[in-house]
Amino acid sequence: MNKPLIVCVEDEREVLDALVRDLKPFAEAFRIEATQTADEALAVISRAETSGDPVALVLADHIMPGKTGVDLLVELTHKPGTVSTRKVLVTAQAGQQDTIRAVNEAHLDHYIAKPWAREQLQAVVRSQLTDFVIARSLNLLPFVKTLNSPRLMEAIRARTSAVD
Amino acid sequence: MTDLANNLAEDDRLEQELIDALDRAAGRLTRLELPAGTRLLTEDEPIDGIWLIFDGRVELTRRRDGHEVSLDDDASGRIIGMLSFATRRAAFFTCTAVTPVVAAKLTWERLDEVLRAERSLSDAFLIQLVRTLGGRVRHIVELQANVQRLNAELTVERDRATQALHELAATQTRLVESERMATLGQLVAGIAHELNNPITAIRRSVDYVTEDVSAFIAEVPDNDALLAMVTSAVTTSPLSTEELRRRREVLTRELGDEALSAKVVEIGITTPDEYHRWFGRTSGAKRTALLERLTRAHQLGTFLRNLQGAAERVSRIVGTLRSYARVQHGVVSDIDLNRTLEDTLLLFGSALRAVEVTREYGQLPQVEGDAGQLNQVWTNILSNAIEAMGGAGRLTVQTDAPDPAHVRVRITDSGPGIKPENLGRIFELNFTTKHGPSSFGLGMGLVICRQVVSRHEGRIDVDSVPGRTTFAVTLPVKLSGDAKRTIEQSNLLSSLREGSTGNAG
Repeated sequence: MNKPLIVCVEDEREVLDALVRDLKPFAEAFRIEATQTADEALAVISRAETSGDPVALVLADHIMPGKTGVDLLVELTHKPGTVSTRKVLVTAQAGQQDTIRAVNEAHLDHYIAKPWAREQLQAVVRSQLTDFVIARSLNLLPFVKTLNSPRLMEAIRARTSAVD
Repeated sequence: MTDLANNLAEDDRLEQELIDALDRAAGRLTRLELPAGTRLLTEDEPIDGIWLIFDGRVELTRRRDGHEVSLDDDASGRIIGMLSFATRRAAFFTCTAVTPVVAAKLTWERLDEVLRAERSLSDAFLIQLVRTLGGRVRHIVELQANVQRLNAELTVERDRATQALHELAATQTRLVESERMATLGQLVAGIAHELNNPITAIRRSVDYVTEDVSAFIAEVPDNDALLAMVTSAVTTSPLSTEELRRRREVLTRELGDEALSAKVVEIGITTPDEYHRWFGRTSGAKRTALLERLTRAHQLGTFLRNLQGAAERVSRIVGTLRSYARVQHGVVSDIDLNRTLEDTLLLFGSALRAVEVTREYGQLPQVEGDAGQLNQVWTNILSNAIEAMGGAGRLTVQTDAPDPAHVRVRITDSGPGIKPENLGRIFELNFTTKHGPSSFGLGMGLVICRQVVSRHEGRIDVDSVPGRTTFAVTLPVKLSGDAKRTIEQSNLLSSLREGSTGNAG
């Protein structure tokens, strides 16, 4: 099994570049894939599932040509392979109805409004990835350096003592 | 009233006869001389007989709301208390002498005696009683009729007042709205102006940073490669993420190292040939170090490029906003419709991101009209179209000249369409099927569109089926003198006013 995936979905290249750049601290332990449409993201995710790579996190814009971000997240929630993938909307243009749908039907994990502050984004991503690796009972050690979160340490301790 | 006067006159004579008869039968009653102001009867107090008035005038009053109200005119009969004869109850009114009065009192007992004694007198008394009652009833009926008439008039007045109030409230709303729009226009112009300076700073700064960074790089080892990388990233638009992924796969097969291929493709080195050109046979730590430096150079170039691009976009939007806000109402000029349509589309910018826009601009003569007002029409139609499509779909903008004297603009969207029953009503004030926030330049609705188009002596047609809705605006190339004058005198306020009364439809 390879590194877990972080998939970014954003049609505007400049914004996508900034998003990927801000995710650089996580690049050691996770594979970061940049996509510009929902369909491209689905193709990437599908290939990852074939190789047995877990999809840890999807960061999606909402208004895009073709399928919207919320539609994508709802779709991912209904697929067994991605139901536990963490889902975050990064957008400036989700109306109330769409946001409600994202929360209720896609079980949105977090909503980041554009423009985002780098520290805020990284904190959210760190927290979401921590949740994912713990919930998926992955071997946690490889993630210690990257995620560097107290919760992770706590989880490791808990597991170690359980083994004992 | 003359009938009543006649009756009263008759009543007077008969009453006088009755008084004389009663006086005679009672054996000539004692006359009392009462000064003006004497109370002969007091309201609600027991009455013990009738008064006969031989001379002078009395007034009958009742207490209402604290003061005495005159019941009857002072020519009321010379027998006071007749109606109380039947019931022997308390006095119904107060009787006061207006002038000095000569009167006599006939107690109930004496009156009974007198009436029993002479049968004819009893009849006459009864008749007089009935007449008095009749008079009262007539009076009451007339008062009743008066009250009803006054009520009716009051209702009419009240309705008129309510109507006026509604109109006033509506006018106030329109005034506020018009002021708001005018303020918004000023605001937009102000914001656009404000943005110019920061935009200038951004654009100039990007240029200078690019220059200075290049100079720094010139002093670094491997500077040729780094400079080339920065330049390439600044000047070349990147391949799509999909394409990069494809090339990454190809390169992985060549190099046998996925992680390396990924990093290399990210910095625009996407084929085996290019790889060898940049890295030659370098390997291990040296290659890692070079890759790191090249990556940083690439990122530098990329973000300088992104800065430039973003600043330019903001600049264009501001430019369009300014020209949009600058256009005065009430100025007739020769308009290049294709240009104004394109300007409006540009203004919608990111709102059209998920919309596939097809432009079919025909060869158009310049059209006489008020560019500002026409811009509002396009803005309105486009905004409705985008909203109907939920922000994503297909939009077609076509212009052509159906005949040498006219031009036509057709805007088609792929939204769910307008229901047939609503088609006739969409141009009505306050008719809406949506409840959403309105953005700048909008919220004035299709009513304004129709007003503007008709002021330009044109017409606006709608054709709608689910999946295809077309708004077609046909305008004459030249305006009549009257139309030009109307336009020059029109402004935002008159648009709204006309819109509400449906004039110039």
